[in-house]
Amino acid sequence: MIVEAKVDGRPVRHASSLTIEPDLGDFEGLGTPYIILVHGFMMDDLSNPPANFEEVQQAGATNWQDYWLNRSEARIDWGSNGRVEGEIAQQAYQQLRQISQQGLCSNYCILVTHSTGDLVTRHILENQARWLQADGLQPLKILAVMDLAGAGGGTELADLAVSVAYNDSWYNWPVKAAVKAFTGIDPQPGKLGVVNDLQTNVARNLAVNPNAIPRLRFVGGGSSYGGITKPFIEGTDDGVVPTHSACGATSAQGIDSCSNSLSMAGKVTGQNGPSGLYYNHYPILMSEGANHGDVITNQTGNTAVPVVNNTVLGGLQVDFASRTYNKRAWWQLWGSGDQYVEVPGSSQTSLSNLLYTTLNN
Amino acid sequence: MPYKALLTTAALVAGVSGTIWLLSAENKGQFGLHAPANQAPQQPTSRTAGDPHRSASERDNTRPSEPSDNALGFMLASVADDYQQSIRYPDYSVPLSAAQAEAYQGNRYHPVGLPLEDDGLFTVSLEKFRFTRGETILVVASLSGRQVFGNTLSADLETADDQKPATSTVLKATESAGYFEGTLNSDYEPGE
Repeated sequence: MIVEAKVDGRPVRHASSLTIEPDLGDFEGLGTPYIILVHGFMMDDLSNPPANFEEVQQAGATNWQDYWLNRSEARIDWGSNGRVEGEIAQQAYQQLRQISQQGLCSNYCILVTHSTGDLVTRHILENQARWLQADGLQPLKILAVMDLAGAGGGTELADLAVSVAYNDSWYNWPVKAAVKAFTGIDPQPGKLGVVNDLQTNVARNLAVNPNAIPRLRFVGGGSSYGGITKPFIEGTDDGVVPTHSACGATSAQGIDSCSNSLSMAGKVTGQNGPSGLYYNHYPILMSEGANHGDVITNQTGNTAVPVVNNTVLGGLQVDFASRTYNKRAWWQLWGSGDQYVEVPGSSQTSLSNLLYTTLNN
Repeated sequence: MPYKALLTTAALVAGVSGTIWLLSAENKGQFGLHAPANQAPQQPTSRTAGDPHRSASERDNTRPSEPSDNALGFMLASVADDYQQSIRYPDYSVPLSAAQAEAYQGNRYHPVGLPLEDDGLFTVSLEKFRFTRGETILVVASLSGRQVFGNTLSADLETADDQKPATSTVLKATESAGYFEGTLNSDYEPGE
């Protein structure tokens, strides 16, 4: 830089050096991370397959509009009439390219998934670096993944759907009713799309490699479709996804809670919990009353139970406040009662809002 | 006779006392059927406690504390320890628990049950999920419930997309009642 002045009528130049750096925007810390959404299974795609990718994107936006849409920077949308390793991967790849080119994740981002988005994301995490580097693009820097009602371990409803597809004359109507509630169609072979990938054995053999990116799990236990699906899902469930999947358990064996010592209602007591969790899978919150859809909406009234608390995972601070209280069961005539744990005030807000506000504090 | 009355009275007192204890909220024994609440952390535990290269003060700092009355806090601390340990390793070589190692073998088949009428169950199990062309596929099926069945079942192999039949076999009853098994040849065009 040269500053010129006239001294006694003569120019005097002062020269000094400075540098101008490109504008990278303000670093807002991890309190306001870039959020990318990956939605779950959409039954309408089976009965009425999307005609083009614009329709897929429109459905994706509608899926998240209740809470997350305006709180995210990008989405990875996909059609449920495809398969994870086929058309869905191609759709995801195109969107990953755009996200990389826009540099959205150059300073880390967080993925928020719902339901089958868990499984799709597992495939993405396993392949995105290779896919993007092959195109000369930067892999996405992903800090963590928040899995809401994750279906990465499959659901028994998908097992039934495939069997029902091959049993057009079968008369077990409760099973058929549950499958129709889940898929929205009378299943036919070859027309189940991603439901094929949601079979417990298929899901648990898809993209199964340990990954360094932590998966934070948020688990519901409510009822969907009037409760007609619950009898056919192993262990507890949220009406669609079994707890063994939502927690990230290493086996499809039915379980009742993500913890061996805490029920989904928050009661501190021995539970039929998972014998193991997938590597870097961490159950954070359980909510016995929240059903499969509630976890991504503004639905309130469901108490949340912390499974992991005050824990730093990959640089992400999770600090839900928790407290314990004692409650005496009706049949206990005296004494201090059972110990329960809950997130204070959680029933006054939605599970998604609880998560989002915690991420931003 | 006085002894009999004394014994009866003693038994009565013991019974009432036992009932009172069972109904008391102080009874957290879950009747011996459940594990204690502060037991069974789920993730593999830290394996660094025996590191001979660490100083005594470091060992003191990282020594697991006594489980507190708050079982949840103990569990959370355990999970945090696990992640701190896991990020020390490269992606291609991470410590796994026995359950994780089994899960990551990547070719497992969990028996799938199909509910039948009257609480019946039709379960099919395979040795694994993926087969190499030419391998023999052992199919084991079991049937339970009140339905009437024949003594044989059949298994058909076909492509998922267009339901093109490849081969079939008859599953024969085994010595175990309700179980059937048979084999299929997998020497066909690879695919689902």
